[in-house]
Amino acid sequence: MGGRAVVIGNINAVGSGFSSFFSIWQVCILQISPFFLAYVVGLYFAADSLNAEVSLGGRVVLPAFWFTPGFAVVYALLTMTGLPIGRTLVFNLGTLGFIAGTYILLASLLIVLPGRVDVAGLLRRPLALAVVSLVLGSAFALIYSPCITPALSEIMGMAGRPETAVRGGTLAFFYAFGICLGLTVTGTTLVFLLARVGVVERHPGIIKIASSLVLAILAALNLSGTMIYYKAFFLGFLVG
Amino acid sequence: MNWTNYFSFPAAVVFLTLLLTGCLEENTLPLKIGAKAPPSTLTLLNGETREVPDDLGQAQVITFMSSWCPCSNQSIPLMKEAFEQYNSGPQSKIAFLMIGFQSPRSKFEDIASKWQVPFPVGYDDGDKIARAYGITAPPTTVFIDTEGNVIRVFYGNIKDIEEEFLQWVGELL
Repeated sequence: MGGRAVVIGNINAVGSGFSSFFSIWQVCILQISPFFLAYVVGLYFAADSLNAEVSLGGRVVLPAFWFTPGFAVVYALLTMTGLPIGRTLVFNLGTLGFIAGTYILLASLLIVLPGRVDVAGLLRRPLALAVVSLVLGSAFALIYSPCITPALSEIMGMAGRPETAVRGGTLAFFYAFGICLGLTVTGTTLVFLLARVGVVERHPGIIKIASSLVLAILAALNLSGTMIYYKAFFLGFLVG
Repeated sequence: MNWTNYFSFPAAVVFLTLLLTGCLEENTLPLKIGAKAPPSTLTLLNGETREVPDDLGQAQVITFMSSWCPCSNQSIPLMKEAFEQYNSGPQSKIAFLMIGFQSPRSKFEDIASKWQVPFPVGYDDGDKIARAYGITAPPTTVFIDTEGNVIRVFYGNIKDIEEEFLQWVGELL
């Protein structure tokens, strides 16, 4: 499986994941990136209706921070097909994807319901926000099917062999961490800019609903098994 | 509010969905390198069905691809080249197979038609075979020996490793 001279370390893996986010490979990350952005934008603009402090740190960076280990750990486990746990997870991805879709749907409701439903008020609390984001990261990892970049090819090759699966899984964790770093930087920048647009600032409710809808679309795509059409539509442009 | 309350929401979601879907009803572990390839039945684009891996005593190169994946598309010419090199003549010992997954069937058919793939091409409805082979992303190529054992899996664009790919195919003989 190996044989190539490319040998990457943890830092390189982070860099590869991060750079893939800002390269042509972003088209593959489109499976999750607009939906992650909708999540943090929705959380930020839902803060008012939660009577929560409106801050980039609390409403964007904190959830992104907790999203990261949820995403990276599950992504690494899925990559470790050299071990029974990885193979079992992949084998049951149909069911797990359905669970992920259900959770994403409920997360989308949490964004739009503050002020209307008591449980949605949980998102006022940093700890609850952390837990919801952590599990959401895991859900995103379950529905994410990456394009195999050269670095990821090396990582998956290692993770697919029993004798190097743990090392490969570790690298996959750092690769996913790099992707999440890209998501965090982009999400923070987007919210920072949006919050300074007058028309957006005056209509946080509309932004909140729109963000919730975008997340709900992701949930629907996965629950209905139509995510393949989304991928074929956007990524098909590259193939021509 | 304590920790239990915070975790109760996601835990309840997972539990209820497991109940609804009957999760983990299949206990068979999928592909393991060095072990027998998991048996599956594939419907080819021409409507025929075949076993994967087949039982013809041939070594096999199976590539899982998606219509939308640029690397999958870039891999096809090399697969065709390997097919012509190793599968021509009466003593051909390596069977080639292309399986579409994570794609709409019609889009995958378009790709197979566009590239005029000369070996069998099938569509993995619901990605069941791909999951049994532990495959989550395209393109992934599986090398199976004449005994039906998986001896190698390569994840990614075979065009990036052209020489090694042809060498690995040759090693199957």
